[in-house]
Amino acid sequence: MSGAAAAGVVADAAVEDLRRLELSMERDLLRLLLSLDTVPGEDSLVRRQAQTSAAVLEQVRRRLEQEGETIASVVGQRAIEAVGAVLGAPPATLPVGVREELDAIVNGQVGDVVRTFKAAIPEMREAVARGITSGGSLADVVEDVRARLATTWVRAKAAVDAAIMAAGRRTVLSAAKEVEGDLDLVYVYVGPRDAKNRPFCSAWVGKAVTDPSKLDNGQGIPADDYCGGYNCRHSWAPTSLETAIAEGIKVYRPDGSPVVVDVQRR
Amino acid sequence: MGITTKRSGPPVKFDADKAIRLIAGYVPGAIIRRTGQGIDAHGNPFAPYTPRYRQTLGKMGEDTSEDLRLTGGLMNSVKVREKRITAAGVEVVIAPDTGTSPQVRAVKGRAKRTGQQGPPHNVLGYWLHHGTPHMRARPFMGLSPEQSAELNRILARARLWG
Repeated sequence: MSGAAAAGVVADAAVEDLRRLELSMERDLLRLLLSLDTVPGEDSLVRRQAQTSAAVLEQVRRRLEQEGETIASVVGQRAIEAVGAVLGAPPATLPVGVREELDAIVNGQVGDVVRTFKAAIPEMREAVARGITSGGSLADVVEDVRARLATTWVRAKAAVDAAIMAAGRRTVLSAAKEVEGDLDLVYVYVGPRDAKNRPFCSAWVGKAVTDPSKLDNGQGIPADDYCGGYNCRHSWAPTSLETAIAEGIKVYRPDGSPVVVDVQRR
Repeated sequence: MGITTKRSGPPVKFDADKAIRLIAGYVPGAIIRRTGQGIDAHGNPFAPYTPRYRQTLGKMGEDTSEDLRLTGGLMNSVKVREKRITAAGVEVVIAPDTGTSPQVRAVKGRAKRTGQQGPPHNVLGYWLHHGTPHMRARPFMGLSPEQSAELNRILARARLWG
């Protein structure tokens, strides 16, 4: 299996994993929350609060933490397995160093997925606690938790999508890096020019840089792999310096100084 | 013009690995950049988007120029998928991968992810490149005549035979 085909399989497996886990987590959490409503017809949690609030809250906390830890562990484990499956069949087109880089990108992203779920645990616990202590309705608590869960999953999916996009960019950049000794390459920032662009993207789109890895996108993630950040729509296109200059593309060094070339003399 | 062939000494060697590396390093970037400029593989501007699609893009606040890009997933997936050394030279297959990108729809004037994945990049790429009964062809895979000439210059300069 080639590197690109394998990356596709990773993407699809990760998406499918997340979809399955999302359904199972939502089902489990709702079952737990609905078990609170032990008195038929009673909507408010006030009466129960008076009787058993401390015990119920503790139980909810434990279950949420347990669920969160399980999800974090399963997501992390499955993502690592997916990467392992790819690396088990080495992509024929990629050298070892590149495969290690891809591994690092996906592993880093798995860490993000895990952190996303860990961060969600206190948020969900707080929603349940607020519902119980304020005497809100069970339906509101369920809806609140469901909304927080949905946000968590959107964040987790974005992290996985970002990993796949980053891996795609890394493959192209690594292939280009291998010929830097033979070709004078620069990296053109390609993509949409619209109001949705982040400041980094607005500043760089249509321009070229000699080394994108040295740029700071202000998001705390590498600009060569993630361009402007998560869900960025842009790409780096390795291009010969000669072509970039001939096409009127402005070329800069990472420190912002322009690259000036006398094409006639080259 | 006469052709000089080498008749004595060790046989001429062709550095196939280097040729592959150069093609792999040059071509994906060339496709991504040219497509981003709205130019097809023949060097012509892409067929314009339909007014309806352009309107949808506009509603979502997206760039409406014909660059075949919405999430960027398809163009980011264009890469070397296979390489072969053959008796006649080298073959390097460059194409979109088989992964998918999140599906995006216009909802209340904003681009919103539907939660579904779009078609595999290679399928989407095929539709875009060849067109469908409902969509004009926008051939983006391949090199324009100018890009082919540049690649040939790069290969010629690289001293692949020695």
